[in-house]
Amino acid sequence: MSDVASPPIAAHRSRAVPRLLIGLGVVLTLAFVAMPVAVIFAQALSKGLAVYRANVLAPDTLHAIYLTVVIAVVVVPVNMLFGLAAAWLITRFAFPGRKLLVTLIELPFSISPIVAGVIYLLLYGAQGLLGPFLEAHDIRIMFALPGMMLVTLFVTSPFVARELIPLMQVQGADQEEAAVTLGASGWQTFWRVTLPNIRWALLYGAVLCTARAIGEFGAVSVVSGNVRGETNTLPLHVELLYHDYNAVGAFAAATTLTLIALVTLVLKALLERRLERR
Amino acid sequence: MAIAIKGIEKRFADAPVLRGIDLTIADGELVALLGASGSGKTTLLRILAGLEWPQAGSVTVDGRDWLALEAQRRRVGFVFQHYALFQHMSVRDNVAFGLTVRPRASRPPKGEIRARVEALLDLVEIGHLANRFPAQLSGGQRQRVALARALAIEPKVLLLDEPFGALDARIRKDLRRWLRELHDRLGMTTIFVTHDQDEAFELADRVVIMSDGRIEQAGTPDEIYDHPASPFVARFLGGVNELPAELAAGRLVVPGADAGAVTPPAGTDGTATLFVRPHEIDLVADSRAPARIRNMLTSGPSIRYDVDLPGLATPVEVELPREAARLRNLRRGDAVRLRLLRGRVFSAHGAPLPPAAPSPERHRILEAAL
Repeated sequence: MSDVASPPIAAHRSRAVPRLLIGLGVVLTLAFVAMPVAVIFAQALSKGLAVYRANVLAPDTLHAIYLTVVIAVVVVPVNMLFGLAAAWLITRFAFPGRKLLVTLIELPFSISPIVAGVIYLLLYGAQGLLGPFLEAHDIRIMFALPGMMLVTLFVTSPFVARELIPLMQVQGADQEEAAVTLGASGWQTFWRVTLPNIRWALLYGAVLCTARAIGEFGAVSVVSGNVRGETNTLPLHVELLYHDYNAVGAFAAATTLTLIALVTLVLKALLERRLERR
Repeated sequence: MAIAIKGIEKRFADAPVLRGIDLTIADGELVALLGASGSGKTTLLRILAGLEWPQAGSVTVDGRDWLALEAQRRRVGFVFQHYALFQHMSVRDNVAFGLTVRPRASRPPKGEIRARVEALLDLVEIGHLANRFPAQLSGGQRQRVALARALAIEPKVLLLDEPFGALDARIRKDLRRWLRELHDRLGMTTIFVTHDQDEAFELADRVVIMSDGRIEQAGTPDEIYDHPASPFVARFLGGVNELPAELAAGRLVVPGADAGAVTPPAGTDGTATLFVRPHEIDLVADSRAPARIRNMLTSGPSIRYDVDLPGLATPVEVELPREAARLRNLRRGDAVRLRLLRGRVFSAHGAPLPPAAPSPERHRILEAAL
């Protein structure tokens, strides 16, 4: 009512408020997103391109990149399968404990990654619950690749399932039932009806999962043992280099992580557009 | 295919949905399952399709135990209420789906599949939409795609769940006639679920009225309309007056009305309820009669009267053809005698009747308050 009574003030206000908010948004984005990214590249390149190249191509850094990629390559497909199976179970069947299972799947989100790492340490470590057994059979999980994969799996397990469950709930089982009445087998129904309907959400979940698997620090640092050139992933390597007072090296390694993050971001945006269109 | 359904019982968790369904359907019959939501009609349809399994009972189709067959192997055409078209496939691929998923040995060659899809799309009159996607179609067009897809597997039984529920009224009427013709032409056994009485009566050879997991009555539309088996069915069909009556020595007495023309049921004496439709009542001016015309309403070819009968909370509805009404020359407030031409009597003992209208006391209180 007061807006109608005093149009000049209302008009004045309606222009000033959005401008203020947009300005605030821009300043904050610059301060907290653009500037840190710029600093990473500026520091990495501060001693020239040759030094940057040498640092990125240092054997330990290359190994860290390799290890990070290996972990992601194993963890992401496993989590896609797990997420798909969990979402299918939860959205297509009614059984007691269904709600509990949903909560359980989201549990890794609410547990601090460090705590997740410690849990694995207490289970599989030399002094852990399963330690003597593993030692007796000469199986090494802690401070080795298997342990790093396990904690990364744990930390990233909710991503795919969380994307799929709401979508599959909304879609319902109608199309699958139609396929079955038309004579399709279970596999045919899955490949030709279920999967095409959820493929973009599945990819979206996989991208989020990849980003987290690559960037994970806390949980992995607990179980990795930080052996240079052996059990160092990229985020751990960045920290290691920084503690060595090798700022250029640390920032050079960080640029590779940043580039991966930017690619993920673009993929994520593309997939989001795809999902919205459907 | 002839279908024999015996003693089907189905519970979801602890809630019974079907409580003993017995029904036989002849080869080539078009049957409507009619009932309110929650009556179990869709569950029965889904059991026939193999999408749900009952806890007890049997379904035999042409002598084969149907419940031992998986849905994939029943070759039933099922049209879902919201069509369930494959969103990521073109109309053509949707219709071809049932043929392309067949094992290699029984799958027709590509060219033949293509030709059959074309023929089906022409049959349902949407040949020009073959390359569209479901999202680009109207409701009626989607309905036709769903039907063509179901027909592609050459089903012997066609099941439709609320086939016209999501369409607007005009398209619904056209599609009804068209579906009837299609059924006659293809000679399948067709069963459809609906909550729309007009749809069931206009389309089906036989109507099965369901309520609360049981079959209330199964019969031709005429049988059901003229001889409702229970007060429930009479009420379900709607537009009916319920008059308290007395059965004594083979005579039916309805206070305030002349029921001489109504044949009472044999044997049972006592209180009863007479179900009589508005057009089955005639009005005769009679200054000594207790009934009064409360209201008159012209509705095109006929005149509707609300008649107050002493002791009755709701007015009796009477409908006279315009010509008859002119001859009677009745006005609001006139005293009239109700002459009942036809009606169905249900004894209070045989079928307990819950009160259909608020009690007279309540009505009086309301009137006083107004």
